[in-house]
Amino acid sequence: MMHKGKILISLLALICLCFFVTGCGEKTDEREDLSLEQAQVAVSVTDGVAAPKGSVYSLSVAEDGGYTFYINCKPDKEGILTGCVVYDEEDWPVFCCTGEEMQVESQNIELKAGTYRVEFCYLTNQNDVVAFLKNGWVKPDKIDPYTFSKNGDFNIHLEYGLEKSQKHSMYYYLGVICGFLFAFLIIMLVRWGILKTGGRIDLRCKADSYDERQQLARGIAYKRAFFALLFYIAVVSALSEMDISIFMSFAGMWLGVCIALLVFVITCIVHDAYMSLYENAKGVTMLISSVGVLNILCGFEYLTGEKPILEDGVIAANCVNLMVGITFLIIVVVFVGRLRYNKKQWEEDGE
Amino acid sequence: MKNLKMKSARAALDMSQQDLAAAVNVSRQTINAIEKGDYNPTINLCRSICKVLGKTLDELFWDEEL
Repeated sequence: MMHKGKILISLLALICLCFFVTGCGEKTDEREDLSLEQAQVAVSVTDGVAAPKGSVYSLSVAEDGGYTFYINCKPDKEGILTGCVVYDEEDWPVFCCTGEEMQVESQNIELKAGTYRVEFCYLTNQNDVVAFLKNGWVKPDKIDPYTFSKNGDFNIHLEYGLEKSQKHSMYYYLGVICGFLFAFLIIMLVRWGILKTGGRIDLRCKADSYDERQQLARGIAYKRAFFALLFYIAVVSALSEMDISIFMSFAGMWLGVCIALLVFVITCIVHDAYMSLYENAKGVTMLISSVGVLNILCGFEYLTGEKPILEDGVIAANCVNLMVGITFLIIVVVFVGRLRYNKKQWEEDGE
Repeated sequence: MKNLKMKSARAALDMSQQDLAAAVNVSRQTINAIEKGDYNPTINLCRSICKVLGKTLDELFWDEEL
């Protein structure tokens, strides 16, 4: 079995090396500086007019393909809502957005070559807003027309443009596969290192891995973790309703998972139900420490402040590694503390 | 309630908690919890322990006060 394991690891290392070399052939296309058309608009809006003020611009698409629209709008003061609709040559809307002050990046949209009309519409009163939203097929999410002021002069800075969506070559996808294989290789190496140094770990989760008392304790731990996750979701939802959306992201979701995991593991450790009958303390400690350290290393730039933890008011997606690393290091501390406590109790009992 | 009968039966055979745990395929902490009275084992585990220690169920697990 050990011989087969060595062959497997060697093969994986060779495959990863090959993909790494071919992956170097994928030139990282540096994104060209995006240049947006700019316009400064001075508009005087009056309540109750039949046709709200607007301005029209054009964008050219040289060839068929996937594109991303960029629409930025910044008025000099509050009280005006700007709507934007992009029409194709046949007057069909292909993209629309609304906002007071907005920086919009659309998803990938398939466009044909031609000239597109960008229409901005300046709205202040309720009837205008509702009429525009009906025509623009945009959901009136969190827009309260009653809060908009009426009859005012506004200066609005507009930016608009589009960019051809980047497509990845075959090497990119091979690189992704390489990444997963490399992660599997790391896992195998960590496992090999643990077994080599006398540690014992059991990842099979067999029915007889835990005795009856441990299974009972683990059942309680699962229940507590489940309710901890439910509570976290409730808190995040409540905060979101109060416009505190810091946890409404991919990383926020993982924070809930980490909290539930911590509740489960700490409950198990406290009841001596974390380590199975086929494991020893050395193996478990090495495994958890490895996971923690590797994830901390992946998220190190967030720890040093090189990259901000918050992006656009929410926790950055790449913070997940840091979160998982901290979670596992907390688990290590609790686990080692429990081992020492048990050892002390054992000595006091004269065992 | 502490199970001193089990503890003394184990000590009579010069077995540690770890030895007894390995013999009945449970963790040492489970044996410790049974002896301290923190855990009530199932009948199957009771029978396994009795078999290893060479005692009957009454001798190890019968509560005189009940």
